[in-house]
Amino acid sequence: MIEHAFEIRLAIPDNEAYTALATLQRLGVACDGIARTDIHVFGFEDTADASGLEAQLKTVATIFNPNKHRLRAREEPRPGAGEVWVSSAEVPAVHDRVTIGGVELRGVRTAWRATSWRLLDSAGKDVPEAILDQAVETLLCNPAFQRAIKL
Amino acid sequence: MKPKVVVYVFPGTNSEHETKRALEDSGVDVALVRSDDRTSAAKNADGYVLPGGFAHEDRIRAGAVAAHDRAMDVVIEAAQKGKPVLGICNGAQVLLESGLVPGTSSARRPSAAFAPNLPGGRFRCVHVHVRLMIPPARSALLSALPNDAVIPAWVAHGEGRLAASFDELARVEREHLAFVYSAPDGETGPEFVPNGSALGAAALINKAGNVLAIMPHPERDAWAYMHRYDLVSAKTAQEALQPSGGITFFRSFAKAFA
Repeated sequence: MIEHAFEIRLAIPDNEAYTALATLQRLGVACDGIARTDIHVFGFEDTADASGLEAQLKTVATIFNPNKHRLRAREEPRPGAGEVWVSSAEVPAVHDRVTIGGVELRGVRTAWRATSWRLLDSAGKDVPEAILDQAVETLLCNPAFQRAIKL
Repeated sequence: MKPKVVVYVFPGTNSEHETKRALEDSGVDVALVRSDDRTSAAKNADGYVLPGGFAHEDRIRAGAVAAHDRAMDVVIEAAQKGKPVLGICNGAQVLLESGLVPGTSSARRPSAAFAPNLPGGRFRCVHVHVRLMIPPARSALLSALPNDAVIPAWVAHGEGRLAASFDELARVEREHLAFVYSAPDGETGPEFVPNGSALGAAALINKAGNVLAIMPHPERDAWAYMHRYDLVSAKTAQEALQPSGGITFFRSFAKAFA
């Protein structure tokens, strides 16, 4: 199975990210900014053609609204430096067909999603890893049913 | 003098009035208090109820932000003093996120969750029954219920599936499983579980028995007219206004203050 990841970012103010930032600051986590992105990861059979997926995702109105979202393919189906993905801890099931919002995604056999979080300092740079870990433990991930994935 | 119970209202709470009405009918004085209220009235209540809804819009995940709200400082302190605390639906999610229930971890470090429903994380709105799984005497909140009591209620959630590690689920099954989903006659089985909840769990309780987290809404089946349409036997308006099974849950909660 080959995985491809896409991020869907809000192009308008992100209220959820603001709430997370305010809560983390109140909990004593040293950060000055936060970036949140929805991540969708799709698995294809090794020989399948995934080239049309990005265009197809832009037709799924339940996850993408061109007026307020920006969608782009990630280079790798895993978090980058300074980033954590929080997702369900369950292993994604393999399906004959995968649909999202009523749209069948051609060739897709597995699908899972995560929330990407990056914490930023006052200069807009990623905070040290220990601070990101603190945020994960105190707020961003409930280990009872979620996992936190880092590079 | 009637006991005083605070029903906390977070941004996004939506069941506070039904909950207040059911509690008042059961004999307690109720104050609806905003979660940003720092007055002594909020701190000096005899008990606390966290109602259903979508506190803080369920941002990050259901109950996560509310569990760190300053109002929960009051609730956690009250729970640690042994005061009755009840969380319904979203309130139950908050109690698990705050670590008060099942209470096997430190405060604000959850060891279990009411996670997205299975299959598919779909929101479910169905009439259910829940059966008491612990001896009523185990909890002051439940002590007025009979053994194996069956309570009717409405499920209305997208995230009500109990999830935890295997070890934690074993602990929950031994000591913290208060109610499971059941048939009206109390029969249990996976066919009665609307959300894939582990152990068929509908409600968990802490070790001391004073903090209860229940996912279905008994306050939405507190009077006959709230029953599912095919259960209604009322022929007159008067009959339709009679107490229903859900009110027995609140009457038992009220007796915790006796």
